[in-house]
Amino acid sequence: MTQNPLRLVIPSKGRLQQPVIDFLAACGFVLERASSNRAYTMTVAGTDDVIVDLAAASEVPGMLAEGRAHLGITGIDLVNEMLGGPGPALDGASLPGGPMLVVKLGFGRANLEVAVPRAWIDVETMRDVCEVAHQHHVQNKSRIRVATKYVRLTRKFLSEAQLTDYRIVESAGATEAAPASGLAEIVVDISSTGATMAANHLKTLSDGRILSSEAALFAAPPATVTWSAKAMGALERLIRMARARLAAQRHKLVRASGRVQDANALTRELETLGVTDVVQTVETATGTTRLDCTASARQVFKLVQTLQSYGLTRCAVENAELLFLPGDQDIGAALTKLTSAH
Amino acid sequence: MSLSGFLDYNEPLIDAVHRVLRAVRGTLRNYDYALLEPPVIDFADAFIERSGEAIRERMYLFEDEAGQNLCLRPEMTIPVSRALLRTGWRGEDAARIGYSGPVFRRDVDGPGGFKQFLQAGAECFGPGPRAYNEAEIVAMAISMLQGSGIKAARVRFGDVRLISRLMDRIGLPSHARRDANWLSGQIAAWRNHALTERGIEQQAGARADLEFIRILKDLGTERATALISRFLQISGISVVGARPLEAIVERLTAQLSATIPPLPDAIWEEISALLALKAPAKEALGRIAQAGASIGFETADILHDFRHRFDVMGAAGLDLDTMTIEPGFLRAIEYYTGFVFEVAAEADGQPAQLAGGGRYDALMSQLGGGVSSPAVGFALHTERVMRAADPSVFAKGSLAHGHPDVIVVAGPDADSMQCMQALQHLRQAGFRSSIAHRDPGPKQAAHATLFLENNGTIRQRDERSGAVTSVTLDELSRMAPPARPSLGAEARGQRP
Repeated sequence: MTQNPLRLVIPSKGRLQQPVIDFLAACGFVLERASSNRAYTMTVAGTDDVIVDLAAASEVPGMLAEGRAHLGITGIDLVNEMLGGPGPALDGASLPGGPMLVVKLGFGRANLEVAVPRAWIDVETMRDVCEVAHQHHVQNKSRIRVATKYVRLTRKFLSEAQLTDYRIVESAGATEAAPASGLAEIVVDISSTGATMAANHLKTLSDGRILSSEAALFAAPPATVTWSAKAMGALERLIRMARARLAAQRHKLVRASGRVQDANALTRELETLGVTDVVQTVETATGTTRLDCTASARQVFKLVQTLQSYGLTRCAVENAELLFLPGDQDIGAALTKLTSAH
Repeated sequence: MSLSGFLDYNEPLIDAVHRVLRAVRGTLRNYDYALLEPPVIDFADAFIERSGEAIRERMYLFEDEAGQNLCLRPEMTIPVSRALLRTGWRGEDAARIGYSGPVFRRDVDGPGGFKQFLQAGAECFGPGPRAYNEAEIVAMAISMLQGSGIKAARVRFGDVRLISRLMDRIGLPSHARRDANWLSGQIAAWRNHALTERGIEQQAGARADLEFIRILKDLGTERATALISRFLQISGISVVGARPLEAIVERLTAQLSATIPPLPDAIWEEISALLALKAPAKEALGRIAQAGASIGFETADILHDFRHRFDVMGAAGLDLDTMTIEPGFLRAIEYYTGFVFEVAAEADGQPAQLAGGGRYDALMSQLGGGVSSPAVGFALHTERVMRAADPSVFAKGSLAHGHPDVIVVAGPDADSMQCMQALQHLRQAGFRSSIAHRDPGPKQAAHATLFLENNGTIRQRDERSGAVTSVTLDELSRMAPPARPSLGAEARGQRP
């Protein structure tokens, strides 16, 4: 029991699969086919403390809720759909029995949207949809059909939008094609760029966004799984590596050198810019200051301008693969929350 | 573990159910209604298509082995109407149907809520004098409740047409018309909306749009549709889904004419007052007439129907003093098409709606059988009726049942043959007789407690006098059997 590996479940196909594999690899978890010839299990190169299971992205939330894996990576939209309501929060608070959100991974961004045919030039808002649906109901004696695989989220959103004259047609795949194939008039589906919607002659509405989603790492509810020391170790490694990867994506490394005119003023200026993790060394022989710091990509130019104006005229900006920042090793409380049953 | 919202029906509860059902059956028989009871399970679509997606949350849903979506029925009117269509009835003659049976509501919550309850009621379909049919339905509801032991019930009436006309008058779009619960709030919101909407027309972007729509309108629907069709073709946009382009163009151009006339504040005040009105029939009718005149909508035919219906209910011997009219009272607006009513009484200190119904002339045609027919009906909530009649029957976790007439005390060593002979003698004589392994104490049997002695003799304790005597089997059979009405339940309800 104490040596049981960590079980991580990831999507076996679909739009999230490759990005998940790439992200894990960037975090030092390079996946390999398991030696036994099992199609739905993989291992991590160089370690036996993690077993990776492959499952449909929509099955991941349920597998976690049942404790069939310690961790899982899938879309926030799918977890919300399983819970039928408000999504899990970062502090682990979510509906009882639901997977707990550990960290958002910053890729696989997409929105769950209400979409109608582009030919509906009289429809721009949910209020228009309500009117059209009602008219349809009265004239055809049948309800307008909404195709989706997000049945619960759709029902909740449409009910809040006061839409009642409709019915849901559950779709297994290719939801966007439902109007063209005569199965539905309206679609609720995930859309990342809107290109698929447009290709299917559909458009989104100004107030028809149900939720914004991205891929995230989730944990099984603590009461459903047991954590061995080995699994705990792998959990800590995965969380810290993932955070370091995300920090690296958000930040640039800035190195600067030169002769600083007014060191105190520079320090104050950097503080007002919000740049805090600054390391400075001064070569006493030459009087040259070398400075290392990190900044968000958005801030970089402003930072470089500032550094140059104080005499650090030579600046280099680099990307980090992984970025561990001061204070990020304090994840004990988070680990306890994820692994100890109350 | 008990399943929240569900009851274990013990003997007092079952007796109480039977009491209500006897009243239901008696009333249905007197009014010559035919019984028709469809299965507890039905197609989920029958309810979703009729009532909308929201009802999905309220139903217990499951699939059968062929993958068809089924549900435990959440109400009886739709199943009964569909069952009537299955008999081949086409609406030429009146069909009067009565029913009772369990229904299931997943969303019922809170203490005292019933997720499973027995619904009983009557539906009157087909041709016939309208006021008579309506009064008959109200009279039947009251008759069933009185027969179930409900004494002080209040009846309130409304009429869906009143609200519809009011909403026409203020320009509330028909898609926004829903149930009573949020009607007042909706009207307030609409009042604000009507104000901001007029502001939007002044904005530049909206003006350009209006110009475009004006051009389409001037072209007429047919030419405008042809123009838009070509325009979409050029843009590479296909018309997908079942909504025809013509409907799109029509709705677009209709927006021009759908401007809401500004209503003065005094009229809004009148509307609020009308919706809040709760008054005895006579007073209410006068105030509705006044309000109709000052707000500006037709009420004469509705008021005439009310007066006529009250006259006919008076002829049915109903107590009109217990009845009020509440214009703001609406049952599901999508469902009813005319008068609606509700019967309420105190149940366990709380007001409880026991029965309700009204006219729903649109339902039959919506069921897709190609039949349309006027219809009035009502349903009563049996468990709420039981609670209003006698809350004590809901005392929980009890195996309580009526007292036996005779208890035979027989320990583990007793002679089984002797026990059976004694008990069979008693049962054949009409005594409710049971066996106990020890003396349950005095007064547990209504008539007598018997002790079988090892020597074959029987000691009898008379539970009315307390006297102990010896009896023989022959003497037992000669004891006078207890008087009892044909249905045992009621007699068992009366404890000695």
